[in-house]
Amino acid sequence: MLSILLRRLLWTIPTLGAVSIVTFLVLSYVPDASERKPRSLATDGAAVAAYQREHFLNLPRFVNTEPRDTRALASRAADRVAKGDADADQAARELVRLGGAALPHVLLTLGDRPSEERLRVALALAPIAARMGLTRAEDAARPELAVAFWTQFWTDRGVEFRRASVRTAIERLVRYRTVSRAQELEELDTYVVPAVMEKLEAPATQADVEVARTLVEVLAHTTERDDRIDADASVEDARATVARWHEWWLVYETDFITLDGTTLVSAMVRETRYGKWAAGAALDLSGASPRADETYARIVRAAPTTATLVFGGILLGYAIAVALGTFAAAMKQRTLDIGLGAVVVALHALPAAALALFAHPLGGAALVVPTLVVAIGLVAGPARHQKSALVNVLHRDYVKATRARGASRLRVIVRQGLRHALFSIATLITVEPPIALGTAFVVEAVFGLDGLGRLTVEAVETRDTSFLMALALALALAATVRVFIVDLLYGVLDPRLRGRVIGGAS
Amino acid sequence: MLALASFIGSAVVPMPSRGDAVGSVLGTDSSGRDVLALLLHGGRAVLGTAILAVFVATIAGAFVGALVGLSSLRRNRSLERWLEAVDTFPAIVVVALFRCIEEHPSNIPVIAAVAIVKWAEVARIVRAESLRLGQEDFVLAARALGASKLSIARRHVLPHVTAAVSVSAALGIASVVLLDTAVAFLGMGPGTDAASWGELLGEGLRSAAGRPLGGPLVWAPLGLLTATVAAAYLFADALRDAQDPNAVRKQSARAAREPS
Repeated sequence: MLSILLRRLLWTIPTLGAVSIVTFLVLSYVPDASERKPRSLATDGAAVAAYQREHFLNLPRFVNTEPRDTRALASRAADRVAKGDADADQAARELVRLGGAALPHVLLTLGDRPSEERLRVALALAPIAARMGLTRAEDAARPELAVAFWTQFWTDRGVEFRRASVRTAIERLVRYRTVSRAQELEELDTYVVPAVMEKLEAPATQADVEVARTLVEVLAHTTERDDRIDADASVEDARATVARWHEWWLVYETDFITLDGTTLVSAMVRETRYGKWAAGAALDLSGASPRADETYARIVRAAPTTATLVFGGILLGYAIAVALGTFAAAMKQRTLDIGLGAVVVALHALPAAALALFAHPLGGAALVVPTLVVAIGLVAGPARHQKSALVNVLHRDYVKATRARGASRLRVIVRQGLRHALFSIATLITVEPPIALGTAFVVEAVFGLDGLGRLTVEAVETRDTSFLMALALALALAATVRVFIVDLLYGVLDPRLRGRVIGGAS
Repeated sequence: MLALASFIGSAVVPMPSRGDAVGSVLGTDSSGRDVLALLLHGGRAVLGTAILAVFVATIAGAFVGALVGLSSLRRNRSLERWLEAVDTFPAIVVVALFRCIEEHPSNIPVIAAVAIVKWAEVARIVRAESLRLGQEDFVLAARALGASKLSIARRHVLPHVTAAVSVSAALGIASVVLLDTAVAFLGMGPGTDAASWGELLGEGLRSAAGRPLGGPLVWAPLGLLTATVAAAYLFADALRDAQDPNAVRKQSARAAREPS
């Protein structure tokens, strides 16, 4: 039993995954996002590229067959510098930005280049040497010494460009937090960034803040991205800074790591818009992001109103429907039956907007009237169902036998009626919420309630994809939980179905 | 009841598409357009939307349902779960998603949303029916005679599922009309430039917020909407009664009692 329930709960995971993928696919076609904003950034090519990069618009949607890493970027930039074309300056800046992480790739191929190209590349690397704070770094900027400088550098220091040695250096830095330890890391430049990011966690105490500050200092120095933690920063400030660094890392990670083997395969999935979105969502959920409380909090704040409308409406609607259906089945007068049927159908057919506006003057502060409006739209189906089910049952032999044994008509109707009511509720309750949700959205709009409906309409107007994404996921989660509860309910209601239905047989 | 339903239905469906020449019997809306003409155009739009959406969903759903129900996948629980997940996804949110990605407002989101959500419902119905029919003697006999799955699906399963599917389709039309109204009312519809009952109703209701029964701008679209949905609903009801073996038995019993 328990294993069946667990298996059932596990089903939510693939379902949510599928819903997120489909929703993402739809939302990835939101227009303008790639054109509108950059146009306002003027026609600066670099700014547009940066904007697209930060919104992952340069990535494919689901599978990246050629994820770019340091090696690819560095050799491309180095080639452009070597050729000395018009865009060589830009390529040189790119090379400097990649920094130490690119050095192993650039310096290893330096010897293979013709001497003229070798010189150009070596000179382009000079700012890195300065940033590293190497002794005699100024030699790297002098044409006659640059190539020799870097050749010597790689002979002497190449051995330090290793993951393991970087990790021990970071451990030492975290433990002692001295300038010389930081210097040790800065001499490897951006090569240390992946390991530092791995070590960088959202600080919880003042002691953590000191560690984070030291690490961020190294990051800020090597990447020349000026976002540091002040000496007297509070824990919150430090957390925000660390979160910004993690967001930056989400975008620029591949500039500083080399992909091979398993990391290459995983990057094919991770280096996509979907992968980035999922990683960003995980970052938000972990609470590390300053944006975390925005979308989620809005949904959490608005959900109770909508949930009350939907589920309160369904329960109320079913209560009315069961009463009406039972009544109609018990009454043999056809005129009454037809009259009730007509009223129910008319109420069902009336658009919720009209109903809500007619009911609006009754007030809606306590959610009672709005819930009633939702309920009325739902009465027709179950009322019919209840009536025909009960009429059928009352003709059965076992009911006649019960009556013959002396049970009153009322008793039979109430007992049979209630049992059928519970069954139809259990069956239909998975089907109704989507419909009730539509009604609830309209009702919210009419009564000015602060629910999911209003947020959705706003999100559509502003094309707020992150909200719609979160909404779709939340609703899918609610749906799977609902199906789960209904299965449990079946088991409680009918012992014969226990195990069978929960097992998932239809 | 069937006759009544089809009467209302046919009275609504083949409305003339050009209503410009009709005098301003019902007055004009806020931008001075003739309400009757707008109503006629809106009727064509909303019914076109509903019929197209339900048609696409029904065809796709019946195909998938029969495929799943008759193939070796029929005992596959995960497929049932997927269908359930799609079926229980709120159409209005799908409308919101599609509305978000189109450049110019149109009624494509509603059609797409209904088609996307509704096909799973049809598929579930057809799958359940095919599972049940697969155990019936005549299907077993056909199989024993060497009939292919395709011909079993065509000759034996489809005629039996049309009943359930057509009821679901008729109800589907009612729900699409309601959905379209809700969407238009929420301001996610094709916009006020297009003629739509929902837009008209929304405009009428907003302008008549104080009075309980506003002008023709409220009651005309409201009446048409209610009539259309009720017609579709009653039609579905009649279909179900006509095809329900229990109900048939009752009817014939009644006919036997009062021979007239």
